[in-house]
Amino acid sequence: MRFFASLREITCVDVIEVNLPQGSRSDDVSDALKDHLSSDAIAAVNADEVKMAVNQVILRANQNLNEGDEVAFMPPITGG
Amino acid sequence: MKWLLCHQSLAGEMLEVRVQETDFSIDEEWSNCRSRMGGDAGAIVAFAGLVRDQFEDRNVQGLELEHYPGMTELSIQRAGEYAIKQWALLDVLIIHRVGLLNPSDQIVLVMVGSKHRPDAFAACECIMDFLKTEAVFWKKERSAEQSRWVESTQDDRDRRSSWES
Repeated sequence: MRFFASLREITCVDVIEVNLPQGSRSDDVSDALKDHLSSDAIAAVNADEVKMAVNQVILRANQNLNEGDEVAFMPPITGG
Repeated sequence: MKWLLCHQSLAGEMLEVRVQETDFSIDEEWSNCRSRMGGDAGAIVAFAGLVRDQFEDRNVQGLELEHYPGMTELSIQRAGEYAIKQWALLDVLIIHRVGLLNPSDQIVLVMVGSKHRPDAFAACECIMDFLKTEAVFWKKERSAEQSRWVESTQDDRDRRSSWES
């Protein structure tokens, strides 16, 4: 999992590897983070304005995750 | 460091996207653009963005640009592809810098070549408006008082929306 910009600073994490049970879906990621992040950091990651991307595609709905998927948490982009 | 060089030909036009820490030479890119287009070209329009030392009421000491390698290049590529579909273009080059930048540094270059100037003018402006809202970058502004992550502005979003009306 990757955290960008303000989320990287809040979580103090750039990249972490997280093991999820087989059959996990994107909505399950938040629970899995409890073992790795503080409650404040998890609240920041779960904020409405934060987007989750799987393999560099922004999620539009809950979806299945597969082994090796790259999950990213993205605060609102600034643009170029 | 350079992350990704996308070189893609779309219906005879060329689109090149570069995201890099290093500076760029407008003279060099201009010359390369002319060479790629050959004698059919009648116009090149280029926009270069610079880092300002003022934002609203703050003195800016510098910017830190963060990106998501791969996703960022794709988001820029989409802006170029949109322009190529809208106008008759011969060449599109988009370079965006990342990392630590100081006031007056070049931050972005959009260079568009076409047969006729209206296409190049419009496409260059459109691509910049797309970049300002859709390119996957996070900007942190450094000032004497504090550092803060910058948010996109409503004006930028309005300008972007105007191209699809």
